[in-house]
Amino acid sequence: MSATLSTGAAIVSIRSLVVRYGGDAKPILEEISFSVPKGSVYALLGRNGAGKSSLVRCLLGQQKPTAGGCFLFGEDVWKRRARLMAKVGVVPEDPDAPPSMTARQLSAFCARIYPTWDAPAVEARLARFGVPAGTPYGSLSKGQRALVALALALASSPELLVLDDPTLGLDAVARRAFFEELVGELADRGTTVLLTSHDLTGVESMATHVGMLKGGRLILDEDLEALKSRFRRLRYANEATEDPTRYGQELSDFDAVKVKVRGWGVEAVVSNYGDETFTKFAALEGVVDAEASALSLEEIFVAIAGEASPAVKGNA
Amino acid sequence: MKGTLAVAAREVAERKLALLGALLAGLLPLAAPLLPGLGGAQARDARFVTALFLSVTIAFAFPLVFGATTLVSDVTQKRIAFYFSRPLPAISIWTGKLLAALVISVSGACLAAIPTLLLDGKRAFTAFDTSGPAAAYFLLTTVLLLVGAHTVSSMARLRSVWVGLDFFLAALFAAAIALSLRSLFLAGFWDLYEMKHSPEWLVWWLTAPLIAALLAASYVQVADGRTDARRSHGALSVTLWSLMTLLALPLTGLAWWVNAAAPKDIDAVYSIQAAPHGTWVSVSGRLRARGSAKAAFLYDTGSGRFIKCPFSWDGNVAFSGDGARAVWPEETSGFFERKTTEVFRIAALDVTVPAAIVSDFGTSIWAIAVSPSGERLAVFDGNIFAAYEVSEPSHPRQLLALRVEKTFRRVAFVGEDTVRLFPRPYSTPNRRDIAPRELEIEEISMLSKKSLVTGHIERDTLADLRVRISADGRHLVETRDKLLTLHDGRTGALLATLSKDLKAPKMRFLSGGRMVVAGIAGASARLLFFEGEKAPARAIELGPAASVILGAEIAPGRVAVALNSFRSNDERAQRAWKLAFVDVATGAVSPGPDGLTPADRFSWWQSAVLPPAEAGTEASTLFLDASGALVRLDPATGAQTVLLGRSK
Repeated sequence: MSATLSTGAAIVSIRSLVVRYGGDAKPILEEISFSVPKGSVYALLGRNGAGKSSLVRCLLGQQKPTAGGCFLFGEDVWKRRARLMAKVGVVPEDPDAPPSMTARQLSAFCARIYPTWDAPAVEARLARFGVPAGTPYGSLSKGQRALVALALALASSPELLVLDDPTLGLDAVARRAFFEELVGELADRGTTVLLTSHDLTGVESMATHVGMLKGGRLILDEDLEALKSRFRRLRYANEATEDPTRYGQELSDFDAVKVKVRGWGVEAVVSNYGDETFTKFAALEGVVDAEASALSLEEIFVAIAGEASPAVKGNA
Repeated sequence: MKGTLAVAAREVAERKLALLGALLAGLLPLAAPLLPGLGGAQARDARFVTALFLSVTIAFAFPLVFGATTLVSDVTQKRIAFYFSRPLPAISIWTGKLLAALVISVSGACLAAIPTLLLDGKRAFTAFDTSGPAAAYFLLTTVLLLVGAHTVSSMARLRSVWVGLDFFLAALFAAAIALSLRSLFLAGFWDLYEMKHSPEWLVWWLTAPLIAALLAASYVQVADGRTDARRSHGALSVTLWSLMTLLALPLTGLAWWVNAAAPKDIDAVYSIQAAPHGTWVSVSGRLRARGSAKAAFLYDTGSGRFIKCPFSWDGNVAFSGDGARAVWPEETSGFFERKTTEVFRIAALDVTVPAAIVSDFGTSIWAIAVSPSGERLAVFDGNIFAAYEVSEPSHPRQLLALRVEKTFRRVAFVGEDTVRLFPRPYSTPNRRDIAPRELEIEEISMLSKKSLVTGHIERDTLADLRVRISADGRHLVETRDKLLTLHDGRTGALLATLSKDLKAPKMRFLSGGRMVVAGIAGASARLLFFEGEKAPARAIELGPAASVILGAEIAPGRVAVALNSFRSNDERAQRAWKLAFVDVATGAVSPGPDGLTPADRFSWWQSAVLPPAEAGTEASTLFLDASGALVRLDPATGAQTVLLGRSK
């Protein structure tokens, strides 16, 4: 495969990515393709084990895909990793900095290897976060380590930020500090972001695009607004039949991803909502008190993923 | 480079406690003199020995520990991703980490010595070799330990399916390389005596490719495996074993090629001994395009058939009188070095495909002889004399074994049932303390199975003894400076003085009890011919010469001699030999081809006593040219046929 790819304005481009481990018959990632446009915030969602971290490792050139390729700024990241990483800030899922080094030492080390490095900005951010710059990394709390990682990731003024579930296990205060800093950075510089996260509440406020991994496949790749506009929760009473097994047949004009029969009627989540279709639906014989309400990203995720994941519940 | 130094500096900083520990450990030698019995005058030695022990321990321990952990721990604990998510090329990560481990290992060993150095000055370490090569060996050893420990640690700790294959291949390659090196050493491919450099040089020459392979494998492991532990192990294993294959295959191929040499591969003949009848010779020589390798063969100059024998300078091959059987002792070897001879081989040469049979004798063999019929074999190991019935070579039957209280012996059959043991020249002239009994002549009867001292050689010491024994054991000729005397082979009694005024006299028994002697008289060579032990000498002048070599009876009544105007044995002299044929009946001397010398000119040195070559047999027509090529000379036409080696 060529080391460069014409990707238009896409900063990240994943092409037919396959990742398979050892002799496993089923790949952990299967034919994944998507792009992240410049200036966008792409939230890659998926349950535990969906392959998000494998995808991020491939995207950072740390792991060779079984097939397909990952391109950053139009270049194959496996072949051009070192050069491309100068334009990328990374906050890993597991803190990987040497435990004996302080944040200040880490900043000094990075200053030697990045073409541009804003050490005062690191100090300023750490002060803002309330993280001691002279404490060894290994002695910091998980939240503090994530904030140090974010401060380091932003110090090189990256064109792309890759955040691999950065707020996993963080308390509410740390999570808020993290996202506030991130939102500020985005407002200031318009950095492109690809993040994986369970923290859908925090993500929803920033994301412009959403991708969703399930069973090793990318089942969703869409602009967040468009996604939210086509997903609706419908609630109505059905008086056309008394046979509950026939409930839902009236939804034939919708793509219903989830239908539940409640005591008072039917609740459904549809993925192709349109006002015209809804008006027609509400006028159907037997459909009574129909109402449509917007869904949060988390609700859409739960509806698509099939069931609420423990992590989603825990972080909500 | 900036990235490499940044990584190295960070890794060193991470392990600075190890350096501090080494420095603190270096204080321990200062306390060594406080131990009972180590104070006072011995204090300095006590400090030195303790500091040396500490430094050496650290020099080995640090590379092993840091080699096993520096990279592998980062991969297993997934901390290597910290580097890979930065703009650092894999080469910088790898080099930086390796450099740091090397710096810590070397510095640690040096730091442990510093307190002692500060106290006692440089004199404390005068025993240390601080020369450039020694420092290079120290660095290479440290790198070898580092990458070796890293490789083993990777195989063991990355826990992928490769580990079983790794250990299998490690054993396979170790065996292949060790066996190849052994066979190359035994073939003399590397002659440590001839080497201009020390054997250490060879060790490093062989180790350097291993270090290079380990370094390359660990680099590919980092560059291709990155944060993926399983892929990391795979990259290491594939690279390492591919490179080891590239190293081992040529080595095993070279070993096979060197050991598969045939007589035609001999470049220059070192020694040759021809069977009295037939066309078989034992020949040894340097092999063409095979380093310093040498080989020895039993070779049929008529058919080209051959049997490979282990190379041995003295070539002790004993042929039966009919040339149909050959027997020789063979050296069995330690893993990398030659040991004493322990077996003898018997080859039946008169069959289509001659094969050598191995028979265990159990100790070193000093002398060996075959009876005239070829069916009996006598062996002496410096302590035990044994005789065998070998009419069935594959099943030698021991006839007798006797303890002989002598060491330096030559053996000759006197008929089929009697063996005579003669004193053997001993080449160390300073040994004047050899027991007088070593000069005794002893006879052993196969029938009575008893030995009897029948005579002795009249002299004070075995040292400088120069004797030639007739193949039938009935005569021996002793040389003392210019004096050449013929003695009874049984009693040692003087029978005749063959020559007393020829310089560097040479003597040869001819068939039928005849003898020839040649030497230098004044500025010319002279040949003396004797019809028998009591016959007067017939002197034949050979012309101007400074040295002479006596050859065999190339045709009935015609003896070959080689004359040289130089006394030296340098290359110029090698090319100055002029062959001549002497008619012992008429005294006529006719010139032969230049540059040839009798092929068996060094056979006097060999311990086996051979019957004289009959006139006109193959053995009498073999010569060496100035290049060491074996040449057959047709006495009738003067035509030369190069049989072995390259005639230049």
